Amino acid sequence: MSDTKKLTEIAVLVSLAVVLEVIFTGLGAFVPFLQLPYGGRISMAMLPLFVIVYRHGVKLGIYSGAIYGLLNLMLDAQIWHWASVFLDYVVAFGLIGFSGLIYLVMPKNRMTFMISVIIGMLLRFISHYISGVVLFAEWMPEEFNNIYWYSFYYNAYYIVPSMVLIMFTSYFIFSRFEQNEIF
Amino acid sequence: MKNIVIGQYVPGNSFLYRMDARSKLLALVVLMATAFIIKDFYHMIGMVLLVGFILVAGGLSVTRIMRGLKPVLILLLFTFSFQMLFVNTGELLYTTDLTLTLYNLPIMMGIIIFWMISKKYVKFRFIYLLLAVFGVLALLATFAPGGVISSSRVQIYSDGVLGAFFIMMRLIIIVTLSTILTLSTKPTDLNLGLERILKPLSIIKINAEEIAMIISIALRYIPTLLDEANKIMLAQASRGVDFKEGKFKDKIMQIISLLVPMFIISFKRSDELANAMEARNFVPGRNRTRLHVLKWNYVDTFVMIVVTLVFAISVVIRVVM
Repeated sequence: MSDTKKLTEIAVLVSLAVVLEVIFTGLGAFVPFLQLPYGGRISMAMLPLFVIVYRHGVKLGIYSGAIYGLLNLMLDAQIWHWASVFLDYVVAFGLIGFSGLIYLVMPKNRMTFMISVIIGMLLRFISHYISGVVLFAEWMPEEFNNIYWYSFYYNAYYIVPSMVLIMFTSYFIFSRFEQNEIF
Repeated sequence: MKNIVIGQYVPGNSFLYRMDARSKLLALVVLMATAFIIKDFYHMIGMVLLVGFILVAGGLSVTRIMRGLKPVLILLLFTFSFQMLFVNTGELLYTTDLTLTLYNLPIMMGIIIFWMISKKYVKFRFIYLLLAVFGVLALLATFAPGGVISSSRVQIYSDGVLGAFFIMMRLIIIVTLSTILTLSTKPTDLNLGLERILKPLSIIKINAEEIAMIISIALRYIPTLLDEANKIMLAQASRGVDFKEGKFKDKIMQIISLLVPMFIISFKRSDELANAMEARNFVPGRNRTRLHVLKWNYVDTFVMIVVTLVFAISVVIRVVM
């Protein structure tokens, strides 16, 4: 595959991720519990990024994740702290690229793809968690008294359902992708 | 879904249009950083006025900016009410009891049911929803005869109001500034400016040109793919799928049915684009010449000095006060 093809494919898939995020934002208007007040949304937007990682490996996965983070930042514009730009957007999504490391040790199939989703979302969670503990202490509601647990619950609220959603979807979609020679 | 104001360049000839994309990007970053270090009330008002001045002096239409603010409106309200309700430090400004009784319960249900039935016929749904919520709250606060079912006290403190004000202003400033940038800069110029700014990253072996290219293609394809998604939704709606109604689980299944064609369309589009680029002899990483070259003018130097001064003054005020 030529470099130009790789480049355009990554670009279009990243914009597909943005489009999915927009669709889920639209869905959030009907189903309010999808969204959280300080940012974070249950959505399937990560799926194209995992597809990029599957097809092109770790390095390009990190690139595309970071770029998606930037675009997401432009759309969302939810910055509460300057360091949040990195921890909640660029780094958080860039870390998804590291989920491609799993393909070095396991064969490329449906099972591995789902494991890579778990790893990627876990890495993203860690980044959001650190950001929550370090930066979001002043926004903590009264009901919580421990910032560590607050950040844990807050981020798990949207990361875990998103992960389940993406795994569920990819389980069904994988064979369709194989038929269409995407995988 | 279509009201995202990204990459919507509007021609004009104010000082914003004469500025270099690089200086605009840098000024944007510095002004955003300024918005974050402000902790004083009057200072924040001054900052908002400054942004308003840029808007007016730049000759951009305010309605367009408002349209850009629309997606964050719901979010703003969310955070606003959160801050108002859950922060309880500072002076107590207002307190009221919300009481649910046997008498006003049916009235409340009536309002909600009326809202659910009538919302389909109202044009400004969001304002209508706000009116309904406000009506219910006013009812609970004022009219409460009979046996009490449950009662809760709402207290609004000065810190909550201030916090909510700062968050709102900050979000509005950020969104307005970035909308000003995208409205006054051609996507190609923006892309080139970004590329030049990211150039120092090549020290750690990151190819700035490629990243700028990916960003510009991705931005270009967002509306296209949104259109395609819309088309697929319409095609499926014509076969009887209803995207607006239905349970949450149904909606998820519908989105899955949307996903496969979306992926296939994306791959097709990217293939076509790559062919078009290769036919024009595009090779990634090779040196390219440009049709448009960025030029750094006096106005850029002037704006950068002003912006840096604003930043410096803000830091001083923050430290002193």
